[in-house]
Order: sequence, then C-alpha cells, then structure tokens
Amino acid sequence: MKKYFLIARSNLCRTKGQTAATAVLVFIAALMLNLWLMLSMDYKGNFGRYHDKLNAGHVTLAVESNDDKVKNFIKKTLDNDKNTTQYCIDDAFVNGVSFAYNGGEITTSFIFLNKKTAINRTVERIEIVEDSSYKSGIYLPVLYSIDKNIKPGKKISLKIGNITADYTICGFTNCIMAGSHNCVMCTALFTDDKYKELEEKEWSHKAFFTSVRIKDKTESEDFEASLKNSITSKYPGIDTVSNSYTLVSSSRYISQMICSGIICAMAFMVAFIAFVVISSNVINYIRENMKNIGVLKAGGYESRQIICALLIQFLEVTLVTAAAGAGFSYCLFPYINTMMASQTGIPYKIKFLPLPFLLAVAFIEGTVFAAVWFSSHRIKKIEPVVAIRQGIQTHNFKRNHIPLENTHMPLNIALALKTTFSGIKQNIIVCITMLLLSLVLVFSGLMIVNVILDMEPFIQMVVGETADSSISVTSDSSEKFLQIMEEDKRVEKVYLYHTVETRHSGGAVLMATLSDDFSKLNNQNICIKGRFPKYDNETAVAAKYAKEKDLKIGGEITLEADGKEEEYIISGFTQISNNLGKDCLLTRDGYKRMAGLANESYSVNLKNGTDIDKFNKEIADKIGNGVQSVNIKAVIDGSATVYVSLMAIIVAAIIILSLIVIIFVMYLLVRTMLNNKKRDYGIMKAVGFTTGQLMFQTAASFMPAVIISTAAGITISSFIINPLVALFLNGIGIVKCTFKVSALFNIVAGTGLVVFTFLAVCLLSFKIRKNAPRELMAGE
Amino acid sequence: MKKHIFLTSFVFAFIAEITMLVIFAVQKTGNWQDSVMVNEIVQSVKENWDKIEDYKDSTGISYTVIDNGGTVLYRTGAGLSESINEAVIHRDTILNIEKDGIIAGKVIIYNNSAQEIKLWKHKVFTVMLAAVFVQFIICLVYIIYLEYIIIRPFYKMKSFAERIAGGNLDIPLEMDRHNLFGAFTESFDIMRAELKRAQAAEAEANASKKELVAKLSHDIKTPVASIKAASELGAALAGNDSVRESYLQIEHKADQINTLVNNLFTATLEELKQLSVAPCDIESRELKEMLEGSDYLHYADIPVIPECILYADKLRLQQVFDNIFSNSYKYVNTKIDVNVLMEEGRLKIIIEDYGGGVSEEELPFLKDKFRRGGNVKDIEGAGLGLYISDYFMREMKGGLVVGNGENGLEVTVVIPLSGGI
Amino acid sequence: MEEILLKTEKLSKSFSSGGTLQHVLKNIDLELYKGSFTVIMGASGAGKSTLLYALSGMDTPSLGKITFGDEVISGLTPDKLAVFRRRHCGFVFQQIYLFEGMSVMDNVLSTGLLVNKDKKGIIKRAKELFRAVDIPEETQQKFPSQISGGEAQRAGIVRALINSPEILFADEPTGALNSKTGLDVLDTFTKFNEQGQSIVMVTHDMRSARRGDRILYLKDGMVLGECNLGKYRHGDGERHKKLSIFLTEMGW
Repeated sequence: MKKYFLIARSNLCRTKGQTAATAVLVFIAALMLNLWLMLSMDYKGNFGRYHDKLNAGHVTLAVESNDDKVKNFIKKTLDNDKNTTQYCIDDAFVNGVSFAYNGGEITTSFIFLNKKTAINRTVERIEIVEDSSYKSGIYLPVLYSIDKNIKPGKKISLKIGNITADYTICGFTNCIMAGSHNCVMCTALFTDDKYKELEEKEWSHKAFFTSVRIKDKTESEDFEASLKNSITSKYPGIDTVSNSYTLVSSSRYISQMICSGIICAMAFMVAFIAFVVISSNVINYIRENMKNIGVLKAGGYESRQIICALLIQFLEVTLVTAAAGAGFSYCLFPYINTMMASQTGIPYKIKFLPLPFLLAVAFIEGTVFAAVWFSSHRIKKIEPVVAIRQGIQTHNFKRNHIPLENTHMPLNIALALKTTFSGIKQNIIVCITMLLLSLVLVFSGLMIVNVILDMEPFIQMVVGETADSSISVTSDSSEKFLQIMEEDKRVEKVYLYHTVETRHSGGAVLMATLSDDFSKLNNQNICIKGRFPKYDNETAVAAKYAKEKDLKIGGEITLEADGKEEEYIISGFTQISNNLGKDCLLTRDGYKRMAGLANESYSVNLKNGTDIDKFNKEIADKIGNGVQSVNIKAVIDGSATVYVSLMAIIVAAIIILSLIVIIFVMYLLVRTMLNNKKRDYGIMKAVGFTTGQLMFQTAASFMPAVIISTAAGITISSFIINPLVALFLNGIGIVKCTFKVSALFNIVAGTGLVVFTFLAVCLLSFKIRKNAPRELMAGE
Repeated sequence: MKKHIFLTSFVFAFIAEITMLVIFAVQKTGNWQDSVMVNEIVQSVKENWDKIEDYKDSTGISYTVIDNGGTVLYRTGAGLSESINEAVIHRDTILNIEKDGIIAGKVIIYNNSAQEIKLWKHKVFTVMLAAVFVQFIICLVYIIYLEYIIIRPFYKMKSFAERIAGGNLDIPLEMDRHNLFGAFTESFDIMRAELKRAQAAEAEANASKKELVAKLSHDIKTPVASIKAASELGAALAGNDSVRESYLQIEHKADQINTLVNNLFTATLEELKQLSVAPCDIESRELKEMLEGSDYLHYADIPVIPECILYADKLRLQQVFDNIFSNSYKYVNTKIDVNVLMEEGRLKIIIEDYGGGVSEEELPFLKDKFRRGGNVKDIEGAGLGLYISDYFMREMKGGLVVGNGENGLEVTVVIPLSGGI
Repeated sequence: MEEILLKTEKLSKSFSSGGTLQHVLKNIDLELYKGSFTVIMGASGAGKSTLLYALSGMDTPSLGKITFGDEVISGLTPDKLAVFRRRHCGFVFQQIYLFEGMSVMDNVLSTGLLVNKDKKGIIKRAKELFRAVDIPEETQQKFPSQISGGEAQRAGIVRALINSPEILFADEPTGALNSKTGLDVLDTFTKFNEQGQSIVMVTHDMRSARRGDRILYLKDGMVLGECNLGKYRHGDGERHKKLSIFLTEMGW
C-alpha cells in the first residue's frame, strides 16, 4: 500500500496545476449534485413531514351553503365511504378575495376560519408559525410574509367580493392543503371578534370546510371528483371549491422542481465534463510518462499496482474536493431555500442530510473511478523494454493537412490548423464541452428573452390565456354588459372566457373553459395539437391529461356537469398549467348541452394606457349587482415576479458556471498541448517564431473545434431547447413549449463564447513565453 | 480507425434499415379516418343545409351529400359514391344529417384507403431503395479505400520494412530531472554544496582569528615600548638601589615581553602566509557592490565597471578594498577617486585620495611588514594591511601597486580577467 | 582584411545550478568573418554549444556584447531576438529537430513564409535548395519519420537556408548520423560554403572539423587557441596534418 502512495504522491506533486483544475470541476459537480439531491430527496419530503405533523387532509372541500342538511349529507357520505379514514367539517366562510402582494395582486378563493376552530382541527390542523400580541385581526399563510408590507401589526386591505375591509395582521399560519394561491384555496384565520363581525355583516358566504383523509392518497383526485359529484348530484347548483393531495403537492413545488431540474442538468453536465477531462488527463499522463512506467514495470511493478496508484492519486484528491463541494452546498442552500420559500410557503429547516451527501460524493468518486479505470487500462499494454527505449511514442502522422505549398491561408493560421488536425482527442473534448455549454447558453438565452426581458411568452405558456381584465356578470345582465362593451371606446376586444367545473366520467375533475369563438383568444398557442373546438360536440383537452388517460384526437370523451353526461369528440390538445393539466375547452353551446350558466366571465382587452382598475369599477357601477372583476395584469405581475427573479438568479449562476468550466477545461487542454508540443515550440522559437505568434497558433488551433461545435451546439440546441424545457415543465402540465428562440441573442452569445474561449486560451498559453529555445540543448 | 468508421456506418445503415422495416411493420396504415374532420363536414353541412347549393367544402376530404331521396346535393369531385349502395360496396362512411331532430339527408365520406395504401407502398419502396443505395455506396467507398490503404501501400511497405530494420533504436536512456527521484537527487546535490560552503566558512574564521592575534601582538608592542622607556627613565632617576633595581627589573621584563610578542607575531604571520586565496570566476558587476560595501562613508563615486568575468577570490578582494578604504579614512579622510581601466586581460581599479601622498623615500617600503608611513602620528595600526593585501592580490595572479598620484596616494588593484592570462 | 560579420566583446554566459553560479563562457572576444567556415571544437562541456547559441541570438549572454553588422543583439527582448533569428540566422541541430507533424516541404515553408510573404519565390527557392542537397520531389512530401536521418538532416539544412541567412549555425550536424550519411551532410556544408555561405559549426569530430577554414578550440569557456586552415585546399593532406598538430597542442 505504501508503494502506491509513494507513486501517487510524486505524481500529484508534478501535476499540481492539472490536479487543481480537475479538483475545481469535481468541486462544482459535487456541489451541484448535492444541492440537487437535497432538493429532490428532502425538500419535497418536507411537505410530507408537515402533512403528517398537521394530520393534513388528502382532499379539501369547501361547500358554499348554510344549510345543515348539506353538512349532514356530507357527513353521511363520508361515514359510508370505505376509503375515508378520517374527516373534519367546520363552519367557515368562503369568498374570492384579492389583495396587494409583491407589487401585484393576488386573487384566489379564501376560506375564513375562526382561529380557535382552526388550530384545534383533528384533520388539517392549522399551525401558527408566527404570532404577535395583536388580539384582533387576521392570520395569513406564511407564504405572504415575504412581502415587506405584510408584517404583523400592519394593516392589510382585503377585497372580499365587492367589499373592501381592513384587518390588522396578527401573525402567520402554516396550512398544508390551503396555504397558497397555488392550491386553489387559501385559509385565513380570524380572531373571534373579527369572525363574528364577518358573520354579522354577511360580507361573505357561509360554507362548510371539509378536510378528508383517505386510505390511498394516490387516489385523491378521483376521490375529489366522486365526492363533488355526489354532492352536486344531490344539490345541483351548489358552489364548491376543492383540491386534492396530488394537486397541492405538485403545485406548491413547481419552482423547486424547475430549480432542481436545472441544477441536476448542470450537475450531470459538469460531472460528464470532469469525466472526459480526467480520462484525457490519465491518457496524457501515460503518454508523457511512458518511460517512467516502463522503468517501474522493469523494476517489478505490476500494471495493477500502477493503475492502483493512479486511482489513489485521483480518488484521494477528488474525495476531499467532492466532500468539500458537497459541504459548500450547505452554504448556498439557505439562499436557494429563501428563493423557494416564496413559492412553496412551507417553512423548511436546513439540516445536514447524510444520504444526499454520501450519494453525491459516491457518485463523483464513481465517475472518477470509472474515468481513471477505463483510460488507464492501456498501461497493461506497455512493454517495459519498448517503453524505455522509445519513451513517448510519437504520433503516427498519415496525412499532411493543409499543405503550405497550396494553401492561401496566412502562415500562422495554416500552422494552427495543422495542430488542430493532429490532436483529435483535444478536439473531441472541446466539442463535447462546447456542445454542452452552448445548450446551456441557449437555455439562458431562452430564459432571458422569454422570462427576464419580456415575461409575456412565459406567462402565456404558464397561465395560458391572459387579458387585461376579467369581468364576471350574471347571465341575465350579459346582454347589457356586451352592449356597454361595444359602446366603450377603451375596449379593443371582449370575449367569453369562462371557467366551470366538469368531470370526465370515470376520471378526474376537469376545469372547462368556455368561449364562443376560440379564435378570439389572445394566446392561440394554448392549442398545441389539432384545433380549438368549433362545434357543440367538440372539445379540446389538456395534453397532459390526454396522455395520462390515453385519449386521442378524434376520439370521444364523456363529460359530466350538473349530473348530466354528454359525449364530445376531441378536436385538439391544449396546455394550460393553471390547473396542472386538468382542463378542457368547450364552446358555450357545447357546455349548454349539459348545463346552463349562472354567471359568465368575459375577458376584456383594453387600449394601451387604460387604467384597468378604474375601468373595472366603472363597469361594475354601470351594471350593478353580481359583477365581479379582476385586474388580470396586476395578478400576473404579482405572482410572476417571483419566477422572474428566480430565473434571473439561475441564469446568472449557470452562465458564470459555464465560464468557469470553459476556463478549467481549456486550462487542462492548453497545459497538455504545451507539454506535448514542447519540442515543436522550442524549434519554432529557434527558427524565429515569436511568443505572440505561438500563442496565437495555440489559441487558433482550438478554434475550428470551438467554432464548429459552438455553431452546431447552438443550432441543435435552438431546435431541441423547447422540447427539453417542456420535459422539465411536464409536471405543471406543459407538453409543448413555444418559447421564442432569439437568433440574434444566440449568435451574439455564441460569438461571445468563441471570443471568450479564444482569449482564455491566449491567456492560458502565455506560459509559452517561458519555453526558451535553449531547452532544446538539454541533450548537451 | 477507418475500419471503425466503415463498420459503424455499415452497422448504422443496417440498424436504420431494420428500424424502418419495424416501423413499417408496426405503423398502422392509412386505415383510419380523421373524425374531427368528418365532424366538421357534418356540422358545416348541417349549418348550410338550407343553402346547400352555395355550400363550399373547406376540409379537402372527398365526399358527397345526398338528400333522403338519393339526389346528390353536393359533391367535392367526380368518381365518388353517389348512392347508399355504391357507398356500401366501396366501404364508404355514411352519416346522417339531422335537422331539427329529423334526418334530412346523408353525407357519404369517400373511402380512399386504396389510394393511401398505394402511396404507402410507394413510400416504402423509395425509402428501402435509398437505404440499399446508401449501403452500396458505403461498401463501394470502403472497397476503394481498401485499394488505397492496403493494396497499394503493400508494395511500398516492403522497402519501408527494410528501412525500419536498419533504423536506430539506441537513443540512450537518460534520467531527466522530471523523473521520480529527480527532486531527491537534486536536494542531495544542494546538501553537498551547503556542506562545502560551511567548511569554507570555518577555515575563514580560523584565518581571521590568526589575523587578529597578529594584529594584537603588534599592537601590544607599542605600550610595552612605552613601559620600557618609562622604566629606563625611572631607573636613571631612582634615589636608591632597591628602587633602581625594581625599575631595571621592569625594563628587563618589558624586553622579555617584547621578545615574546615578537615571537608570537612572527609565528602567526608565518601561518598567515598559508591564508588561503581561492580565486574563481566572478562577474565584474559584483565589484561595484564590493566597492560600495567598502566605501561605507561614500567618499567615492563608483564608476561603471565593464562587463566581464574576473578571476578573483571574492572574500579576499573585499578585504583588500576594505583595507584600502579604511586606510584612507584613517589617515587622510578626504574625497576618494575610483577609476576602472580594462587593459590586456586585466581590470585595473585605481583608487586615489586627496591626502597629498607619501614621501618618495617611503613609497618602496609601504608594502613591507609592520611598515607604517610618516603620517602615522597617534593613529593606531599595525602597518600590516597593505602587506597582506599585496599578498592576496599576488595570489590571485593580480597585483597591488602603490604610488603617488596627482592629489594623493594612489593604490591600483589589478584583477586578472578569467582566461585573460 | 575580411569583412566582420559578427563580433563579441567579453561575451560571458553563466548558469546557476543548485544555488551556485557556473560560468560556462568567459570573456570571449571573437570576430567572425563573412564567407568563412568557422568550426568550434573542444571537449564536452567546454561551452561549444553555449557559444553557438549565444552567437546566434538563441540565448542571451549574461555579460558582454554581441554585434551583428551594426546591430547590437545582446540585450534584445526574446521576441526581437526571434525576429532577428528568422531574418539573419539558419540553424541545423544535432537532433535534426524537424516538425514531426509536417511534411518535409512544409517544414521548410513554415520557416520560409515567416520572413517572406512571396510564396512563389519561397517555393522556388525551396525547390532549388532541395535539388542542391539532393532530395527528390517525392521525399519532399514525406514526413520526417518516414525518411532517413541523412535526408532529414539535409532537409534541416534546406530549412536553415530557406531565408538566405547571413550565417548558418550548425550544432554537431553529423552527431546523430552514421559516417556515410554524415559525409553527405558535410559535403553539403562545404558546397554551400564554397558558394559564399558563412557557416559556424560546433563539433567534436575531427572529420567534420577538417571542413572548416578556421578552427577555434574552446576550453573551460575560453578560446584556448585558433588555427587557420584557409590557405590549404580542401582534401589536402597538409590540412589534416596541421589540424592534428593544432589539436594535439590544445590537448585534444
């Protein structure tokens, strides 16, 4: 064993620079890997832990009614259901509420509960995570505490229906199933007096807040559908708000999913580059030390022992750096946690996670082991006598690339190209690195263009249809409304865009979006395959759902609303991530085949510069009762800024990371090249080439591979990036991405990458300066 | 290498063919109908039923519309089934058009699967042909390649082999410093050098100890002489015998000390002769530092020293300069001129002060042992410096010339150039 | 009086090894004449190659001055020296040192095009030189590893002469060759010298030394003596005799 260490140590000492560069790559890989493992293995697990801790439900349902008969019916249904293990029904109020948040507006269904009731629930207990001495006011989900203006003691104005009420914030709560606008509904707790005030003033609708635990949580969606079905069949026209474990657990972790997906991709990319680089290091080591290995072999060392020494050399260093990298990820984790918390809204306490740590280190060690093991096998083929005699086996040249006699290229470029052609291995590494990095670059570009600079495409893809304002009127006053719209000059376009709940018979609850004419929609990309429904017997369903249920375009689907079933031909697939891929499109006539509409929501496009809030208010005043309007722009701004800042950080991080990776890979390649070409550089200097010329040649010799692979990488990436991003976002119902790929940005970024690489190589090859022609005389 | 390319491309082509075959086998042929399109036809015909004569198709599918009586109301083209029976024979799709709950007519969607199968066959044929062609090209290229790579070079190889047989394989194995033990042997070398230096330093210390003894013993002689003179005077003036006897005793003992000191001095000086002078090659630019080091009062401007390699003992040369400068400081304490002259393989350093020099009679003896010039006065000294300096310079195959210059004493230190003699 | 091409004054070169300074060349005063074939001889480690490389601007001297024509080349920056070398000097090495990755022709052209942009002229001159050293077209397209040592060295000479340098420096050009091919190379040197090419060659081989018209004997970094063979014709027995006497004198 000692012998191995002896060889390993002496190798390490002689290759400090290379070792350091590989160490950095390994460090980064381990860092990212550990982050990813922590995010994917434990971060989401946190949801489960809290779910258990608070005995949270699997299906949550708020039924808008003050009739005890309804309550009893629910109880009876649940008592008789074999699947239900535990449930809890409490009186509450439910209403659509909007309030200012993060510079925008949040609009979602709020469940108002009495604080005392809420914190003592048997199922779905609501935990108070931050309390204060204020005795009268409201408790909000902890998610909203990231807004500077939402702090204990401050006032918050809630728009409950058409009434605006101010409340003092008393503290924050953690509610698993209803703790974020991402889970369809949100709970807010009132102190006794405020709760009574709400009850007396009848600002909001009474409701029964039901939380159910079931045996098999994977069936939560089906259970949700069947429970609602049984309620609405019995009491048609009753309003319900509901969600399920499956929906909440994924919707609260969208950003975690995106982030860990990106980190994972980066981690494997860096690990792969490290693998390639280490392999080439080992191959070079063998080439350079052919003689020494020959001597060792002649001295009685077995190939196995020499390979072991190499393994120890690399594993030793990478073990330390991988552990350090994984350790360092704990320094970055708090920042990521903060970013995530703005979306998940579930507190996460950072602690040491041994399993991800071990896995990350083990994976890196395994990669390094494989790289060294596979590339060091040629040691076995070395014959001691041959090795000692010949030393480094000179390259076997077969062709004179770029004959100077015939070329019209400038001398230095021609010589650089000769070098390029003689070092295929280097070119392969360069190509692999550049291909991967250009993918990263294109991704960054995609994010910059579609999310950071202009978030419209991102919003359109995630939210689906967006307009300036959404106004809901009762069906009776819709004609009057449309007439007002026609007369109003500020209105550019108005169209029915109403969402109602339907069920796929034998499947999940599908949110059906109705419109008279889908060609009026602002975002025609909603339909990703086939076409929008045109006739009353057609529907378009979410692509993700269709895939799950194996539905085909042209096939039939049975939908159900208000207890009436109808069959529809599937005319196309859509993607709207609002309901995580559980929705369909119907024409108004199509829906009418099953049920009528009590309310109609219209989307309104206004002329630029129109004050949306003012417009909404005016319309509400004109029409009178039953009008509810939402400033969609404000809502989007509120929720999207979180994603934009998250993306900005991710993009910055991956661009910096890419540049670091380039520098280290190039460092290793240039070093190897300088070593291999020491003799040639000596002769060149002797015959009168200057350092500058040689540096240029070195840098230029990398350029063909760099330019070709960057160009190819960027071109290929431009085509595959959308499907690739769709793969990442599949979880939120995105099947097809239609992000704009900016050719200009890609060209600029690609050129930048090439220029950066060129400069980096120039800088790194500055060492040639030291390579004096005198060294040729070493044999004297 | 090329073989791999061939094999892989061949395998790829083969895999591609198999994949295509599998795809063709598995893929469903055009035996299905776009129900959305059909629905569109039915719905649009229904909408336009009342004005069917103005109706225009927008789907591109071939069909006919007939009423309950079998009259053709609309057709997209000729050659389609125009009655229920024809449609049944042709396996066409027949759909009812309902108007207000009553069947008003029928749409007969033309079954074009025969055509599609034909298209399909055509496609399969083209693709397979292309694949086979690609394979053929690969083989052809490979055969041409083999011709170039194996058959032609085969003849060339014969002569090449002979040359290899005669080639030299005797490049000697040399262990360069990049090997495993390079650093180790190098540090051994450094260790040896360090030891050597330490030894030299010890010898030097010994020598300077002896020099000190020589100097001291010389210095002792002066007070002893005074004691002798004083006691002589005492004896002459003594009142009584016993006092005179005591003075004489003192004088006698002083004589004895003088002899002893003389002996000691001579003995050390003899040994001093063995003071080692070990000249070696030094660069002339080092002289500047040495002169600046000696001239610590900065009385002189050290001139530019021509670049060359000198043959001198750096330590001894420094001592010579020290001596010259300290003498000048001691006796005259004036500005000093330093000039450098390159001459016949020697470098002359001429150092002159502004003290007016010494008398011509004294000049020849300045370099003698214990000789001190007339301007000694009360200044302490052994009169030994120039003697030893001269000795050092001669040992270096150079010399020390003392003379009177224009302004004062001029000492010329002659240092030989390396290889100059 | 012959025209002085290169002149050194008190040229010295020192290396530090293991902490101590080693003086390889000491106070060398030397004048090289145009059209002469100067041979530098001496025992191993006498500083022959060091002198050659210092003269040729391949290496900078530690002390002293080197003047080439009117230009002082000692003290130039490495890059300026490189430009000087490509204009005025040609090199032939013991280990031949052709670029392994290029054909023989490209080896020559890569150096030629460095100075002269007139490609046709360069190719023409290369072809002339190849003919002069007896390297056929076919060999010109081969790689260094595919040709014999003698051919490679002659190709090396072509590369050295492609830019018509004022001086051709040769460091033991026959050192790695067997006697027959070595002879061919020497003949080439003599031939070019007779055409007026100044040559400075380092050797410790008597047979090679005989070709020179001025022999310098180096010992311990100093020129111990020199011998002028210019007055004897090449191949004259006297030439050999005089050289033998000189070398015996020098303690060869």
